[in-house]
Amino acid sequence: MAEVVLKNIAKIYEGDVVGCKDINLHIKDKEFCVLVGPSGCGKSTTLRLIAGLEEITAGELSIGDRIVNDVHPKERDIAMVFQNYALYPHMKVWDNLAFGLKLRKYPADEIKKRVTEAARILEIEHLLDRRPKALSGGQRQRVALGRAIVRKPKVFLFDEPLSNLDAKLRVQMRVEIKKLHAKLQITSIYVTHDQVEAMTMGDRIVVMKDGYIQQVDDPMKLYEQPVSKFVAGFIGSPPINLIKVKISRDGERFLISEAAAGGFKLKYTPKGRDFLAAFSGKNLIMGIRPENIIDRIYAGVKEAENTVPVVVEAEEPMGSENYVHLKTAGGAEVVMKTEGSNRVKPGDRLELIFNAEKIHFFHPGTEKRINEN
Amino acid sequence: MKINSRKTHDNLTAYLFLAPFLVVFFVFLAYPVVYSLVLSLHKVSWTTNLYNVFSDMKYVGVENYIKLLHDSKFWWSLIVTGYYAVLTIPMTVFLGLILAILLNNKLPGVSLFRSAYFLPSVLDILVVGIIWTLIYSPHFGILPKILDSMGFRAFIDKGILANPRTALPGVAIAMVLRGAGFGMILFLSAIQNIPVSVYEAADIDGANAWQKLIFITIPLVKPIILFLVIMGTIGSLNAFTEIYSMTQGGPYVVEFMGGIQGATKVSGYYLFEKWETMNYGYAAAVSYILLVITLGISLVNAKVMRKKH
Repeated sequence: MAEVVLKNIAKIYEGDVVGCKDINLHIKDKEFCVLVGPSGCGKSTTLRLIAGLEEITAGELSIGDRIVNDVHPKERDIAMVFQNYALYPHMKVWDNLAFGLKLRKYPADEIKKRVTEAARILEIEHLLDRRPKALSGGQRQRVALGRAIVRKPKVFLFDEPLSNLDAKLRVQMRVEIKKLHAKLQITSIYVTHDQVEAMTMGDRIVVMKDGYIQQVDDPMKLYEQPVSKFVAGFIGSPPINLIKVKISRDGERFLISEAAAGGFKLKYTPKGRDFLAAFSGKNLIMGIRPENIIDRIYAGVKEAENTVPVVVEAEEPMGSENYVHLKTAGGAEVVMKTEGSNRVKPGDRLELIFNAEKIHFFHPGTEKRINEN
Repeated sequence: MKINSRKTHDNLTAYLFLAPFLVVFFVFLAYPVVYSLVLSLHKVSWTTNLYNVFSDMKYVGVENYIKLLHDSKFWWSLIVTGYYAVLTIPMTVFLGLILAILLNNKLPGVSLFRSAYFLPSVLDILVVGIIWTLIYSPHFGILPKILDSMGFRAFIDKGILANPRTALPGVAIAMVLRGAGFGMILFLSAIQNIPVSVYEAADIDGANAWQKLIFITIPLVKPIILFLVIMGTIGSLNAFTEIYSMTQGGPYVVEFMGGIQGATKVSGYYLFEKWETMNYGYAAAVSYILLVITLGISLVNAKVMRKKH
């Protein structure tokens, strides 16, 4: 039973360099919380503050019902898995797992029990006599996980644990860590720069940028209702298309025209978008995800009105789906996700239909999302 | 055929590049090793031609070696050498490691201290020996003066090096302080190769600073310890310059196996004395025995350390 609560946590390095600031986060018991963001966004710093590897400049951190700002890492009852595994190179796997227990003066039979159990769970029983050097990357990461679980801590901290693994193994370990979490039910905080990892693993995701939290939400909400252009662009692959547009009135409807000269014009009237009236005559950033764009000929629509004419620049056939890279008349680059069998050639001219309800609008200055749904 | 000729050509090129080293190796290392074995089976006779001593030597078989077995001065020199090794090696390793740990941080001025501690290693042993002889010398040497003012009056008249109990430790301290900087540099680079995250993992596992030193740092710098012990052993068996510059093997006051022995007469210096008095064959025999001991100790060392590691 351990919640992790961060209240106004900040880490300021020498020379006023912000590690992270104004971090308010309530991680619930048994939750799998993922911190995600580009490098230098403060996610690792936040994790290291929770671990106690770095000193908190301001704010209050509690694990369970105890404030731990000034508590040494070993007293915080946490375990951490590092990106480079951080195994003790001179110790056999068995000793790597047992080290923390030995230091805590557990009785020998208890140590044996726990190490064997952890080894069984992680399927590394046959590796116990080896040294880390003799293990593959995936095996090392399992040992690192084992070292974390033998101690049965209140909180697991993961610092980009899969970054050093190859792509295939990463996907496999991703699932295993999730399974492990389901089995052990221990509060986990997981740092990654990989949005796919974040989306697939997190109960809740914390998106960070430049030391600040941008948004905290469950994966689907994050995907469908990003608070800002940054979050919208960071979550999702291929990323959301962002196009500068100009809003104007066209009688009852709105006219969305590409800001660049010669670009497309869309007549637009979905419900609940009346806020656009306030932006009439102004520029906005329109965001639309690749799967919300469709080629007219597959839409069963005949009329040529309200389509966006584009030219195919390249395609990335993935088998089950095809990412088509396109350019609008105004020069904006757009990616469309379509079925794998819908093949095109560079130079082909297409007419796109944007799913009007899925269009997001972002303020060009603050970059916040304007539409509510 | 073509492949073969290319291979030969490649090999030739390789040997050509190796040639400068090989020439030096054979002239100054391989040949002397073999020649001193030959020498150790010979003896300079009284009637030798002084202009052609080496080719005029007489073959005596293993006579030199048998004589050595009954030579109290030789046995004594081995004891002194062992004592010298015991005095210098653990101290050098310990001091080097302590300095490395202290200087492995980002405090201002650290690089100045690193260079300062390393600097003596660059100086010739002879120079260091002379400096310390002055520091140790009676009446005006700074150390006896300090000891005198603290109430230890025994050193002011004889200094440190004329006292049979303190002579060899005196030499050892001088050499430890000279050599520790070298060990420090090696330890520093080894410590800096240990990923920070390993220490962080140990932090989280619950290790305190002492436990991190014992369970993480020392095991991971073991190869350096092994290297320093082997180098120290070889250094002790070859020790000559420091004795030559500081004590010349004296003071001659110790009784052992019925003879008066020099308190600091290590094997290397004994060998030099034999050579200096034209006992070339005998000196070569001494050097061969030292070589065998060196090899033996190195092998045992390597094996023991590897097993623990």
